[in-house]
Amino acid sequence: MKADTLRPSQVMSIVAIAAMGVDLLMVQNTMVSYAGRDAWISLLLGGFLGIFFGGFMYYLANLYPDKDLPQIFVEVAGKYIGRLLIIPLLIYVLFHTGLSIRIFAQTLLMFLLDRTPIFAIVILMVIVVVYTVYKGIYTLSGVIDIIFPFAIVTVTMLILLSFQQAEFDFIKPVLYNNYPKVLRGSFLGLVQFTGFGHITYVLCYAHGSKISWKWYVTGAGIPIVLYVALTIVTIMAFNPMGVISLTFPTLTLSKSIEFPVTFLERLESFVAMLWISIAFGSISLFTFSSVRNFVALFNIRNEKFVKLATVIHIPLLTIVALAVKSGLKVIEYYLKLNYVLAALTIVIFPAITIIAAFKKRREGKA
Amino acid sequence: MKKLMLALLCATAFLLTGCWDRTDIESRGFVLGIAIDSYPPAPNKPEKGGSASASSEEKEKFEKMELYIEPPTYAITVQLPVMKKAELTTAATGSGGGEGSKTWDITQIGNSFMNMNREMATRTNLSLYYEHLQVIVISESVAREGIENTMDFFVRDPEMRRRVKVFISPTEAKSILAVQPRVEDYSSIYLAKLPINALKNSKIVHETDLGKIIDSIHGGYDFLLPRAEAVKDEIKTSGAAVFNGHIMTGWISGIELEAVKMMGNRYVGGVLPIRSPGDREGIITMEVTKSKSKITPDISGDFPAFRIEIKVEGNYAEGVFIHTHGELDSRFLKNLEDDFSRQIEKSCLQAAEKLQEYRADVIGLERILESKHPGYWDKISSDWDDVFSKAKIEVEVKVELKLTGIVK
Repeated sequence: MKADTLRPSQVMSIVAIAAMGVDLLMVQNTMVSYAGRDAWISLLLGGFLGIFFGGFMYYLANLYPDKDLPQIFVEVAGKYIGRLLIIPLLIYVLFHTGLSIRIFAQTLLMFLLDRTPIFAIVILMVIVVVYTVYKGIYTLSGVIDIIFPFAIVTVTMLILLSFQQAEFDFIKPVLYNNYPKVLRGSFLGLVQFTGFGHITYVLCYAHGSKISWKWYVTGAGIPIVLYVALTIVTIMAFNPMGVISLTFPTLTLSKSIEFPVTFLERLESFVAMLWISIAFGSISLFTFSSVRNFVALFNIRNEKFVKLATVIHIPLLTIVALAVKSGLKVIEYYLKLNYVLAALTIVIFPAITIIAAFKKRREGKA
Repeated sequence: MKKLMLALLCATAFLLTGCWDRTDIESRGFVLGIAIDSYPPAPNKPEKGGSASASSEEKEKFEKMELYIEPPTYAITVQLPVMKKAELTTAATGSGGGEGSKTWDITQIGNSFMNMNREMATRTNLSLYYEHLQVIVISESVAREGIENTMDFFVRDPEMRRRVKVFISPTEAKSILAVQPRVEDYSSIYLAKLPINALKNSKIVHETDLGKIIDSIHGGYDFLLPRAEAVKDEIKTSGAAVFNGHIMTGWISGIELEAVKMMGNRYVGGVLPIRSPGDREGIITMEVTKSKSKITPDISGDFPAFRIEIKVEGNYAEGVFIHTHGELDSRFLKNLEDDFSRQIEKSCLQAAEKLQEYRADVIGLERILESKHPGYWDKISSDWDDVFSKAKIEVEVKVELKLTGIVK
């Protein structure tokens, strides 16, 4: 399992799993609430935008193959401005991870463990996640290798089985009087694929492996295809107004599938079980990125302190996850964080990439 | 650091040693069925049923609860299996209270379902558990007031299942749960399994899931729910309650339901008898194997017109008072197909007329209009009930008989 380099297929599965996470349960509600029955088109456009902006990050990571994103920030923008730029990145990743853990715990509480105190679920998840990150990226990628095929098969099966209750009329008429919302919604679609950015955190661990553009696009394409298909089938099963009224449409979808045989009566339990592993994979990758941000911001070089930065995430993530009392507010804040991400994706990452490209060219000429 | 990690691992081990949500199975009260009646029962249409034990004053005192907000509007009955009795293999005693009953039907009167549910905890030592809920029976009087209010608790609570079957009873809903079935142990399971026979009999509504109903209500679509009636040891479901939005507006018979299913492309199987062509005594029955409809809207007039083309495939299943004796030739079959077509067309037009009278578009014409003529739909959507009641509906049926059995 342990290796000293990441293979291209491992980078692909990391990009794919990182983009899924807790959004897998809510993506349809977020998108349909904004773009109505054409939400799937917004999501598809958002996916293409994600690959486009992710392309900057892929290029940036290839310019500095031995550095991760926060280190590249310092390298390109200098010690002070670079660290200043790390701060919004650090805040976004830390809060995204903490709130993801909270939503994860909230979902478990609602569907499976109704009497378990939320702090118990949160603390347990945080400990397991931090332990995995503590063991290093190669252990983490090994875990992702195991989760990846199950995640793909589960979501694909869920989509295919849901077609039995789908009504095609619910997604028609396509794009009727809805172009502006669909286009604006594509930016909301873009932030559903936050995991694409992980390419800049893991590419530096793929020493000697040539991670081609093809592998990156495959990794990014998998969640796009699954999310779009899941959104289409959810709209066709519940109608657009029905999707808006559901907090976690994916779990409700799995609860709606009926089998004539009783052994698969509780499909939602299987889906919930596998979703736990998908969420675990995604949250672990975000925690890993958060640790890397801390390390770069505080210029930590000693391995002992790197481990301390990892362990310090236990209280940090627990506080973020449990700070907000209201469950609905947590989802609201989680979605509002997308503004920070949008600023990072659309402004800061491309700007850093362009500066880095000029810098490299100048160095090459010199 | 290693010591810290070891300590954390030990802490994890402690956290994993038990389960907060553990409830012993014998402490659970598995709710199999729920009946919702109005309270007090409608004065001009008393809801009578077969409940054997819920009439005494003392019992009613138990069923009433202290309320924060008056007056009580609903009576909810939950059916719990008595596990000890479930093991008995002696003569069936069925449900509905009384000695030897296999179920315990608890009724509670109030106005909030969550509140009534928790009030039942004052009367049972079991923890009510809804994950195995099979059916919800709603009385006509409740349905005519609107079912959205009654459904919120069942949809919001994650313990509830979207695949729970919902039925409408013209009498007291509680009386359906009180049936003592012959084969099944519990009336709820017996009732939940009845829609399976929609493959054989088209007079049964098969799309009756709680989830589907809620989606229809949220989407603003009209829908049907199966009618359920009971005698002491039998439940019959034939025909349907018609809902405009979430309010029940009337009933349609089993034959009308067949036609509605054919028009709305929801026909999954059934039989159709007609008089034999040229023989006033004979009855010929077709077993319908396939029915597909295509609806074409026309918006050129003042009100929209819908042309419904239905293609039906079936088999010559039976002839009564008619003896063909080798006379089943292609001309006879052609005449038969034409007669079946005319019969279905007539049924469809009658059913459509009734739906227009109820102003309930359960065929799904609005979705077709919306998807094919969205601009026109925008103009009329707010008056759709009125427009639908005046729309012109034409039906054209083409029947094809495929097989005639092993005799001619």
